[in-house]
Amino acid sequence: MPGPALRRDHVIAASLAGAVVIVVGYASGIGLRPGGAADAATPPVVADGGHQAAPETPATPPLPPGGPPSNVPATPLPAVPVGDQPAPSMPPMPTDVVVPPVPDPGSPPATSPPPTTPPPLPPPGTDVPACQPGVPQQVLDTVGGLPLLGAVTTGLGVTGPDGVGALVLGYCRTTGGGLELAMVPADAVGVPAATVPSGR
Amino acid sequence: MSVDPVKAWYVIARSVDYAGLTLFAGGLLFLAVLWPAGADQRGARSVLVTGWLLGLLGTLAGLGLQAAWAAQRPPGDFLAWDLLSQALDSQFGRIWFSRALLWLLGGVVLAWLLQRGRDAATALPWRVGAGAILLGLLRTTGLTGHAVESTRPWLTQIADFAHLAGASAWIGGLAVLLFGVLARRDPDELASVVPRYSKLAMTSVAVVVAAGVVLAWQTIGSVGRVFSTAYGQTLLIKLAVLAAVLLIAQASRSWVGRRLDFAVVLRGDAGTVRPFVYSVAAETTLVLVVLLAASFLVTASPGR
Repeated sequence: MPGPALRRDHVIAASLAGAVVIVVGYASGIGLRPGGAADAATPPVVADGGHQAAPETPATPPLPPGGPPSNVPATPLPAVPVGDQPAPSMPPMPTDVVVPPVPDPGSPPATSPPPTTPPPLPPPGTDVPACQPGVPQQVLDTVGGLPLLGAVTTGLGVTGPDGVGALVLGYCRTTGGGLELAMVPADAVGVPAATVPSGR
Repeated sequence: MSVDPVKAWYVIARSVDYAGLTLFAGGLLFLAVLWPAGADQRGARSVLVTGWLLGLLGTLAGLGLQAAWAAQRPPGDFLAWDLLSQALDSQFGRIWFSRALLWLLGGVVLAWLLQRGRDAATALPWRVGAGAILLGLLRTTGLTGHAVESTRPWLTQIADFAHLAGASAWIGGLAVLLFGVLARRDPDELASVVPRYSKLAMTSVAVVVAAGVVLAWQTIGSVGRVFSTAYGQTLLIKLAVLAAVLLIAQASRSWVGRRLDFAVVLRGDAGTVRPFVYSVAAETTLVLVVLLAASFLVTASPGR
Protein backbone atom coordinates (compact mmCIF):
# COMPACT_ATOMS: atom_id res chain seq x y z
CA MET A 1 0.00 0.00 0.00
CA PRO A 2 1.92 3.03 -1.19
CA GLY A 3 -0.30 5.55 0.57
CA PRO A 4 0.42 4.76 4.23
CA ALA A 5 4.06 3.95 3.44
CA LEU A 6 4.44 7.28 1.75
CA ARG A 7 2.95 9.07 4.71
CA ARG A 8 5.21 7.21 7.12
CA ASP A 9 8.27 8.20 5.09
CA HIS A 10 7.17 11.79 5.13
CA VAL A 11 6.69 11.69 8.89
CA ILE A 12 10.15 10.22 9.39
CA ALA A 13 11.74 12.80 7.10
CA ALA A 14 9.92 15.66 8.79
CA SER A 15 10.87 14.33 12.21
CA LEU A 16 14.51 14.10 11.19
CA ALA A 17 14.50 17.62 9.82
CA GLY A 18 12.82 18.96 12.94
CA ALA A 19 15.23 17.12 15.21
CA VAL A 20 18.17 18.52 13.29
CA VAL A 21 16.80 22.05 13.67
CA ILE A 22 16.43 21.58 17.42
CA VAL A 23 19.86 20.01 17.87
CA VAL A 24 21.65 22.62 15.76
CA GLY A 25 19.77 25.36 17.59
CA TYR A 26 20.89 23.87 20.89
CA ALA A 27 24.46 23.68 19.62
CA SER A 28 24.32 27.28 18.45
CA GLY A 29 23.22 28.41 21.90
CA ILE A 30 20.04 30.09 20.74
CA GLY A 31 18.72 32.28 23.53
CA LEU A 32 22.11 32.85 25.06
CA ARG A 33 24.79 35.22 23.98
CA PRO A 34 27.94 33.95 25.60
CA GLY A 35 30.94 36.24 25.40
CA GLY A 36 33.32 33.73 24.01
CA ALA A 37 36.61 33.70 22.27
CA ALA A 38 34.96 34.99 19.15
CA ASP A 39 34.03 38.16 20.95
CA ALA A 40 37.17 40.15 20.78
CA ALA A 41 36.08 42.69 23.36
CA THR A 42 35.60 40.21 26.17
CA PRO A 43 38.42 38.01 27.35
CA PRO A 44 37.21 34.43 27.52
CA VAL A 45 37.65 32.92 30.89
CA VAL A 46 36.18 29.47 30.60
CA ALA A 47 38.32 27.37 28.37
CA ASP A 48 37.31 24.38 26.31
CA GLY A 49 36.21 21.70 28.64
CA GLY A 50 34.52 24.15 30.91
CA HIS A 51 37.17 24.76 33.50
CA GLN A 52 37.80 28.19 34.88
CA ALA A 53 40.72 29.78 33.11
CA ALA A 54 41.46 32.86 35.19
CA PRO A 55 39.16 34.43 37.74
CA GLU A 56 39.64 38.08 38.32
CA THR A 57 41.57 39.26 41.30
CA PRO A 58 39.15 40.43 43.98
CA ALA A 59 38.84 44.12 44.46
CA THR A 60 41.15 45.84 46.87
CA PRO A 61 39.38 46.60 50.16
CA PRO A 62 38.81 50.24 51.08
CA LEU A 63 41.81 51.91 52.55
CA PRO A 64 41.68 52.94 56.18
CA PRO A 65 42.23 56.64 56.67
CA GLY A 66 45.84 57.48 56.95
CA GLY A 67 46.92 53.93 56.43
CA PRO A 68 49.20 52.56 53.76
CA PRO A 69 47.58 50.93 50.76
CA SER A 70 47.33 47.18 50.72
CA ASN A 71 48.07 46.10 47.20
CA VAL A 72 46.84 42.76 46.09
CA PRO A 73 49.14 41.37 43.45
CA ALA A 74 47.24 41.23 40.23
CA THR A 75 47.36 38.01 38.27
CA PRO A 76 47.65 38.54 34.53
CA LEU A 77 44.99 36.98 32.40
CA PRO A 78 46.18 34.12 30.21
CA ALA A 79 46.28 34.36 26.48
CA VAL A 80 43.06 34.00 24.58
CA PRO A 81 42.48 30.33 23.77
CA VAL A 82 42.27 29.68 20.09
CA GLY A 83 41.38 26.77 17.96
CA ASP A 84 40.34 23.76 19.93
CA GLN A 85 43.11 24.14 22.39
CA PRO A 86 42.42 24.30 26.07
CA ALA A 87 43.44 27.38 27.96
CA PRO A 88 46.91 27.46 29.47
CA SER A 89 47.28 26.40 33.04
CA MET A 90 46.10 28.96 35.55
CA PRO A 91 48.81 30.69 37.53
CA PRO A 92 48.67 30.16 41.28
CA MET A 93 46.29 32.53 42.99
CA PRO A 94 47.06 34.25 46.28
CA THR A 95 44.95 32.63 48.92
CA ASP A 96 45.59 34.93 51.83
CA VAL A 97 46.50 38.54 51.35
CA VAL A 98 47.94 40.04 54.49
CA VAL A 99 46.95 43.61 55.10
CA PRO A 100 49.83 45.56 56.57
CA PRO A 101 49.20 46.98 60.03
CA VAL A 102 47.63 50.38 60.07
CA PRO A 103 48.88 52.81 62.71
CA ASP A 104 45.96 54.18 64.64
CA PRO A 105 46.89 56.51 67.51
CA GLY A 106 43.47 56.16 69.12
CA SER A 107 43.51 52.43 69.66
CA PRO A 108 46.02 49.82 70.69
CA PRO A 109 47.89 48.26 67.81
CA ALA A 110 46.39 45.11 66.48
CA THR A 111 48.53 42.04 66.91
CA SER A 112 47.29 40.11 63.89
CA PRO A 113 45.21 41.85 61.26
CA PRO A 114 42.44 39.71 59.79
CA PRO A 115 43.37 38.31 56.43
CA THR A 116 41.23 39.12 53.45
CA THR A 117 40.51 36.15 51.33
CA PRO A 118 39.08 36.23 47.86
CA PRO A 119 35.53 35.01 47.56
CA PRO A 120 35.31 31.29 46.76
CA LEU A 121 34.83 30.42 43.16
CA PRO A 122 31.54 28.82 42.30
CA PRO A 123 31.76 25.21 41.19
CA PRO A 124 31.58 24.66 37.46
CA GLY A 125 28.08 24.91 36.14
CA THR A 126 26.78 27.13 38.93
CA ASP A 127 28.48 30.35 37.95
CA VAL A 128 26.52 33.27 36.59
CA PRO A 129 26.39 33.39 32.83
CA ALA A 130 26.31 36.90 31.51
CA CYS A 131 23.86 36.96 28.71
CA GLN A 132 21.22 39.02 27.07
CA PRO A 133 17.78 37.68 26.34
CA GLY A 134 16.97 37.20 22.73
CA VAL A 135 13.72 38.27 21.17
CA PRO A 136 11.99 34.96 21.95
CA GLN A 137 12.94 35.30 25.60
CA GLN A 138 11.57 38.83 25.76
CA VAL A 139 8.34 37.74 24.10
CA LEU A 140 7.94 34.88 26.56
CA ASP A 141 8.61 37.20 29.49
CA THR A 142 6.06 39.65 28.17
CA VAL A 143 3.45 36.94 27.69
CA GLY A 144 4.20 35.52 31.11
CA GLY A 145 3.67 38.91 32.67
CA LEU A 146 0.18 39.44 31.27
CA PRO A 147 -2.57 39.28 33.87
CA LEU A 148 -4.68 36.42 32.54
CA LEU A 149 -2.76 34.88 29.67
CA GLY A 150 0.42 34.88 31.73
CA ALA A 151 -1.19 32.82 34.46
CA VAL A 152 -2.48 30.32 31.91
CA THR A 153 0.80 29.94 30.04
CA THR A 154 2.78 29.71 33.25
CA GLY A 155 0.34 27.17 34.62
CA LEU A 156 0.69 25.12 31.47
CA GLY A 157 4.45 25.26 31.80
CA VAL A 158 5.06 27.30 28.67
CA THR A 159 6.41 30.46 30.22
CA GLY A 160 7.99 31.12 33.56
CA PRO A 161 11.36 30.16 35.02
CA ASP A 162 10.62 26.44 34.88
CA GLY A 163 8.61 26.48 31.69
CA VAL A 164 9.33 24.97 28.34
CA GLY A 165 10.50 28.32 27.02
CA ALA A 166 13.10 28.62 29.76
CA LEU A 167 14.12 25.01 29.22
CA VAL A 168 14.64 25.48 25.49
CA LEU A 169 15.98 29.01 25.46
CA GLY A 170 17.78 28.99 28.78
CA TYR A 171 17.62 31.30 31.72
CA CYS A 172 20.53 32.99 33.39
CA ARG A 173 20.63 32.33 37.09
CA THR A 174 21.75 34.96 39.50
CA THR A 175 24.29 34.32 42.21
CA GLY A 176 21.49 33.91 44.73
CA GLY A 177 20.00 31.09 42.75
CA GLY A 178 17.18 33.22 41.46
CA LEU A 179 16.42 34.07 37.90
CA GLU A 180 17.16 37.21 35.99
CA LEU A 181 14.48 38.11 33.55
CA ALA A 182 16.20 41.05 31.96
CA MET A 183 19.86 40.48 31.50
CA VAL A 184 22.37 43.20 30.89
CA PRO A 185 26.01 42.89 29.94
CA ALA A 186 28.19 41.57 32.70
CA ASP A 187 30.39 44.58 32.99
CA ALA A 188 27.37 46.84 33.34
CA VAL A 189 26.21 45.17 36.55
CA GLY A 190 29.56 44.35 37.96
CA VAL A 191 29.34 40.62 37.43
CA PRO A 192 32.89 39.37 37.33
CA ALA A 193 34.01 38.61 33.86
CA ALA A 194 35.24 35.30 35.20
CA THR A 195 31.70 34.04 35.08
CA VAL A 196 31.23 34.72 31.39
CA PRO A 197 31.03 31.40 29.61
CA SER A 198 33.39 30.82 26.79
CA GLY A 199 32.21 31.07 23.27
CA ARG A 200 34.04 27.89 22.42
CA MET B 1 59.71 18.46 20.21
CA SER B 2 57.55 16.69 22.76
CA VAL B 3 53.93 16.04 21.95
CA ASP B 4 51.37 15.91 24.69
CA PRO B 5 49.94 12.36 24.56
CA VAL B 6 46.41 13.50 25.20
CA LYS B 7 46.70 16.07 22.43
CA ALA B 8 48.04 13.41 20.07
CA TRP B 9 45.04 11.21 20.81
CA TYR B 10 42.76 14.18 20.37
CA VAL B 11 44.25 14.89 16.95
CA ILE B 12 43.70 11.26 16.00
CA ALA B 13 40.09 11.50 17.17
CA ARG B 14 39.61 14.59 15.03
CA SER B 15 41.08 12.76 12.05
CA VAL B 16 38.72 9.85 12.60
CA ASP B 17 35.83 12.27 12.90
CA TYR B 18 36.79 14.04 9.67
CA ALA B 19 37.21 10.73 7.85
CA GLY B 20 33.80 9.60 9.06
CA LEU B 21 32.15 12.84 8.03
CA THR B 22 33.65 12.84 4.55
CA LEU B 23 32.86 9.16 3.93
CA PHE B 24 29.32 9.39 5.24
CA ALA B 25 28.37 12.74 3.73
CA GLY B 26 30.12 12.19 0.44
CA GLY B 27 28.84 8.63 0.20
CA LEU B 28 25.24 9.67 0.78
CA LEU B 29 25.58 12.44 -1.79
CA PHE B 30 27.10 10.05 -4.29
CA LEU B 31 24.27 7.55 -3.93
CA ALA B 32 21.54 10.17 -3.93
CA VAL B 33 22.78 12.10 -6.95
CA LEU B 34 25.05 9.92 -9.04
CA TRP B 35 24.42 6.26 -8.33
CA PRO B 36 21.15 5.30 -6.58
CA ALA B 37 21.62 1.69 -7.65
CA GLY B 38 24.72 1.62 -5.47
CA ALA B 39 22.48 1.60 -2.41
CA ASP B 40 21.98 -2.09 -3.10
CA GLN B 41 25.68 -2.79 -3.57
CA ARG B 42 27.82 -4.09 -0.79
CA GLY B 43 30.88 -1.92 -1.45
CA ALA B 44 29.01 1.35 -1.34
CA ARG B 45 27.03 0.30 1.73
CA SER B 46 30.27 -0.64 3.48
CA VAL B 47 31.65 2.84 2.84
CA LEU B 48 28.58 4.40 4.42
CA VAL B 49 28.58 2.11 7.44
CA THR B 50 32.30 2.70 7.94
CA GLY B 51 31.85 6.44 7.70
CA TRP B 52 29.00 6.44 10.17
CA LEU B 53 30.92 4.35 12.70
CA LEU B 54 34.05 6.46 12.36
CA GLY B 55 32.06 9.66 12.69
CA LEU B 56 30.22 8.58 15.80
CA LEU B 57 33.28 7.13 17.50
CA GLY B 58 35.46 10.07 16.52
CA THR B 59 32.94 12.55 17.87
CA LEU B 60 32.50 10.75 21.20
CA ALA B 61 36.23 10.23 21.61
CA GLY B 62 36.96 13.81 20.61
CA LEU B 63 34.56 15.13 23.22
CA GLY B 64 36.20 13.17 26.03
CA LEU B 65 39.75 13.70 24.84
CA GLN B 66 39.28 17.43 24.47
CA ALA B 67 38.00 17.54 28.05
CA ALA B 68 40.98 15.49 29.20
CA TRP B 69 43.33 17.80 27.34
CA ALA B 70 41.73 20.88 28.89
CA ALA B 71 42.04 19.38 32.36
CA GLN B 72 45.56 18.10 31.73
CA ARG B 73 44.48 14.57 32.52
CA PRO B 74 45.84 11.41 30.88
CA PRO B 75 44.19 10.17 27.68
CA GLY B 76 42.74 7.16 29.46
CA ASP B 77 40.45 9.48 31.42
CA PHE B 78 38.51 10.48 28.32
CA LEU B 79 35.51 8.51 29.51
CA ALA B 80 35.67 9.83 33.09
CA TRP B 81 32.24 11.05 34.03
CA ASP B 82 33.47 14.12 35.91
CA LEU B 83 35.37 15.24 32.83
CA LEU B 84 32.44 14.65 30.52
CA SER B 85 29.98 16.45 32.77
CA GLN B 86 32.41 19.34 33.02
CA ALA B 87 32.83 19.38 29.24
CA LEU B 88 29.09 19.45 28.67
CA ASP B 89 28.92 22.71 30.60
CA SER B 90 31.13 24.36 28.00
CA GLN B 91 30.12 25.50 24.55
CA PHE B 92 32.55 23.10 22.93
CA GLY B 93 30.99 20.22 24.83
CA ARG B 94 27.50 21.33 23.94
CA ILE B 95 28.36 21.48 20.25
CA TRP B 96 30.09 18.13 20.21
CA PHE B 97 27.33 16.52 22.20
CA SER B 98 24.96 17.85 19.54
CA ARG B 99 27.18 16.32 16.87
CA ALA B 100 26.93 12.97 18.62
CA LEU B 101 23.14 13.30 18.58
CA LEU B 102 23.26 14.13 14.88
CA TRP B 103 25.34 11.03 14.23
CA LEU B 104 22.70 8.97 16.01
CA LEU B 105 20.04 10.58 13.83
CA GLY B 106 22.25 9.78 10.87
CA GLY B 107 21.94 6.17 11.90
CA VAL B 108 18.23 6.40 11.12
CA VAL B 109 19.00 7.61 7.60
CA LEU B 110 21.58 4.88 7.17
CA ALA B 111 19.27 2.15 8.43
CA TRP B 112 16.55 3.45 6.14
CA LEU B 113 18.91 3.18 3.17
CA LEU B 114 20.20 -0.25 4.13
CA GLN B 115 16.68 -1.53 4.51
CA ARG B 116 15.13 -0.07 1.36
CA GLY B 117 18.15 0.24 -0.90
CA ARG B 118 17.61 2.00 -4.20
CA ASP B 119 13.98 2.79 -3.40
CA ALA B 120 15.15 4.90 -0.48
CA ALA B 121 17.94 6.61 -2.41
CA THR B 122 15.50 7.80 -5.07
CA ALA B 123 12.72 8.81 -2.67
CA LEU B 124 12.25 12.46 -1.82
CA PRO B 125 11.58 11.88 1.91
CA TRP B 126 14.85 10.01 2.36
CA ARG B 127 16.73 12.72 0.50
CA VAL B 128 15.16 15.39 2.68
CA GLY B 129 16.07 13.51 5.85
CA ALA B 130 19.60 12.76 4.68
CA GLY B 131 20.08 16.35 3.54
CA ALA B 132 18.97 17.69 6.92
CA ILE B 133 21.38 15.41 8.74
CA LEU B 134 24.27 16.35 6.48
CA LEU B 135 23.56 20.06 6.82
CA GLY B 136 23.49 19.67 10.59
CA LEU B 137 26.75 17.73 10.70
CA LEU B 138 28.54 20.18 8.43
CA ARG B 139 27.19 23.19 10.29
CA THR B 140 28.08 21.96 13.76
CA THR B 141 31.60 21.15 12.61
CA GLY B 142 32.06 24.82 11.75
CA LEU B 143 30.73 25.99 15.10
CA THR B 144 34.07 25.18 16.70
CA GLY B 145 37.51 25.90 15.42
CA HIS B 146 39.18 28.97 14.07
CA ALA B 147 36.20 29.94 11.92
CA VAL B 148 34.33 31.36 14.91
CA GLU B 149 37.31 33.39 16.09
CA SER B 150 37.96 35.54 13.07
CA THR B 151 37.03 39.18 12.76
CA ARG B 152 34.46 38.20 10.15
CA PRO B 153 32.88 35.12 11.69
CA TRP B 154 30.03 34.84 9.18
CA LEU B 155 32.40 34.91 6.23
CA THR B 156 34.70 32.31 7.72
CA GLN B 157 31.86 30.08 8.86
CA ILE B 158 30.31 30.11 5.39
CA ALA B 159 33.73 29.38 3.94
CA ASP B 160 34.25 26.62 6.49
CA PHE B 161 30.90 25.07 5.59
CA ALA B 162 31.73 25.20 1.88
CA HIS B 163 35.22 23.81 2.53
CA LEU B 164 33.83 20.84 4.45
CA ALA B 165 31.00 20.23 2.00
CA GLY B 166 33.36 20.27 -0.97
CA ALA B 167 35.87 18.00 0.74
CA SER B 168 33.12 15.57 1.74
CA ALA B 169 31.68 15.40 -1.77
CA TRP B 170 35.13 14.82 -3.20
CA ILE B 171 36.60 12.35 -0.68
CA GLY B 172 33.44 10.40 0.03
CA GLY B 173 32.81 10.15 -3.68
CA LEU B 174 36.32 8.83 -4.22
CA ALA B 175 35.73 6.09 -1.68
CA VAL B 176 32.41 5.00 -3.19
CA LEU B 177 33.93 5.16 -6.65
CA LEU B 178 36.85 2.99 -5.56
CA PHE B 179 35.04 0.40 -3.44
CA GLY B 180 31.72 0.47 -5.26
CA VAL B 181 31.86 1.37 -8.93
CA LEU B 182 35.41 0.34 -9.83
CA ALA B 183 35.27 -2.84 -7.80
CA ARG B 184 32.36 -4.05 -9.96
CA ARG B 185 33.73 -2.82 -13.32
CA ASP B 186 30.25 -2.86 -14.77
CA PRO B 187 30.55 -1.16 -18.18
CA ASP B 188 27.18 0.56 -17.97
CA GLU B 189 27.97 1.95 -14.54
CA LEU B 190 31.41 3.02 -15.66
CA ALA B 191 29.94 4.86 -18.61
CA SER B 192 27.23 6.62 -16.61
CA VAL B 193 28.76 7.23 -13.18
CA VAL B 194 32.44 8.00 -13.75
CA PRO B 195 32.05 11.04 -16.05
CA ARG B 196 29.44 12.56 -13.74
CA TYR B 197 31.60 12.04 -10.70
CA SER B 198 34.53 13.58 -12.55
CA LYS B 199 32.51 16.77 -13.01
CA LEU B 200 31.34 16.70 -9.39
CA ALA B 201 34.91 16.24 -8.19
CA MET B 202 36.16 19.17 -10.27
CA THR B 203 33.47 21.42 -8.87
CA SER B 204 34.16 20.19 -5.34
CA VAL B 205 37.87 20.80 -5.62
CA ALA B 206 37.24 24.32 -6.92
CA VAL B 207 34.99 25.01 -3.94
CA VAL B 208 37.52 23.51 -1.53
CA VAL B 209 40.34 25.66 -2.90
CA ALA B 210 38.32 28.89 -3.00
CA ALA B 211 36.95 28.41 0.50
CA GLY B 212 40.38 27.36 1.74
CA VAL B 213 41.91 30.58 0.47
CA VAL B 214 39.30 32.59 2.38
CA LEU B 215 39.87 30.56 5.53
CA ALA B 216 43.65 30.86 5.32
CA TRP B 217 43.40 34.60 4.72
CA GLN B 218 41.11 35.09 7.68
CA THR B 219 42.93 32.72 10.00
CA ILE B 220 46.55 33.61 9.33
CA GLY B 221 46.20 37.19 8.21
CA SER B 222 49.48 37.69 6.38
CA VAL B 223 51.81 35.78 4.11
CA GLY B 224 54.68 36.15 6.54
CA ARG B 225 52.89 34.12 9.19
CA VAL B 226 52.64 31.20 6.80
CA PHE B 227 56.38 30.69 7.11
CA SER B 228 56.98 31.98 10.62
CA THR B 229 54.38 30.04 12.59
CA ALA B 230 53.91 26.34 13.21
CA TYR B 231 50.34 26.73 12.06
CA GLY B 232 51.48 28.15 8.73
CA GLN B 233 54.04 25.41 8.27
CA THR B 234 51.42 22.74 8.93
CA LEU B 235 49.25 24.45 6.37
CA LEU B 236 52.11 24.32 3.87
CA ILE B 237 52.44 20.57 4.42
CA LYS B 238 48.74 20.18 3.87
CA LEU B 239 48.93 22.22 0.67
CA ALA B 240 51.88 20.21 -0.59
CA VAL B 241 50.04 16.93 -0.11
CA LEU B 242 46.95 18.44 -1.65
CA ALA B 243 48.97 19.50 -4.68
CA ALA B 244 50.18 15.92 -5.07
CA VAL B 245 46.59 14.69 -4.83
CA LEU B 246 45.51 17.16 -7.49
CA LEU B 247 48.28 15.98 -9.81
CA ILE B 248 47.06 12.42 -9.43
CA ALA B 249 43.48 13.62 -9.89
CA GLN B 250 44.55 15.22 -13.13
CA ALA B 251 45.88 11.84 -14.27
CA SER B 252 42.55 10.26 -13.36
CA ARG B 253 40.69 12.94 -15.27
CA SER B 254 42.92 12.37 -18.26
CA TRP B 255 42.15 8.64 -18.13
CA VAL B 256 38.42 9.38 -18.05
CA GLY B 257 38.82 11.57 -21.13
CA ARG B 258 40.97 9.16 -23.15
CA ARG B 259 40.43 5.61 -21.91
CA LEU B 260 36.97 5.37 -20.39
CA ASP B 261 35.22 4.73 -23.70
CA PHE B 262 37.78 2.08 -24.49
CA ALA B 263 37.18 0.40 -21.12
CA VAL B 264 33.43 0.43 -21.70
CA VAL B 265 33.81 -1.11 -25.14
CA LEU B 266 35.98 -3.84 -23.61
CA ARG B 267 33.22 -4.51 -21.05
CA GLY B 268 35.24 -3.23 -18.10
CA ASP B 269 38.44 -5.08 -18.94
CA ALA B 270 40.54 -5.26 -15.78
CA GLY B 271 43.78 -4.34 -17.48
CA THR B 272 42.24 -1.25 -19.03
CA VAL B 273 40.61 -0.05 -15.84
CA ARG B 274 43.59 -0.83 -13.61
CA PRO B 275 45.50 2.48 -14.11
CA PHE B 276 42.37 4.38 -13.16
CA VAL B 277 41.90 2.21 -10.07
CA TYR B 278 45.49 2.87 -9.03
CA SER B 279 45.20 6.61 -9.40
CA VAL B 280 41.91 6.72 -7.49
CA ALA B 281 43.42 4.55 -4.75
CA ALA B 282 46.43 6.85 -4.52
CA GLU B 283 44.14 9.87 -4.29
CA THR B 284 42.11 8.24 -1.54
CA THR B 285 45.21 7.36 0.44
CA LEU B 286 46.76 10.78 0.17
CA VAL B 287 43.62 12.63 1.16
CA LEU B 288 43.82 10.78 4.46
CA VAL B 289 47.12 12.62 5.02
CA VAL B 290 45.34 15.86 4.15
CA LEU B 291 42.69 15.06 6.75
CA LEU B 292 45.37 14.37 9.34
CA ALA B 293 47.01 17.72 8.57
CA ALA B 294 43.62 19.39 8.87
CA SER B 295 43.21 17.81 12.30
CA PHE B 296 46.53 19.29 13.37
CA LEU B 297 45.46 22.68 12.06
CA VAL B 298 42.23 22.83 14.05
CA THR B 299 44.12 22.04 17.25
CA ALA B 300 46.96 24.49 16.64
CA SER B 301 47.20 28.17 17.30
CA PRO B 302 47.40 30.35 14.20
CA GLY B 303 49.53 32.75 16.20
CA ARG B 304 47.42 35.82 15.74
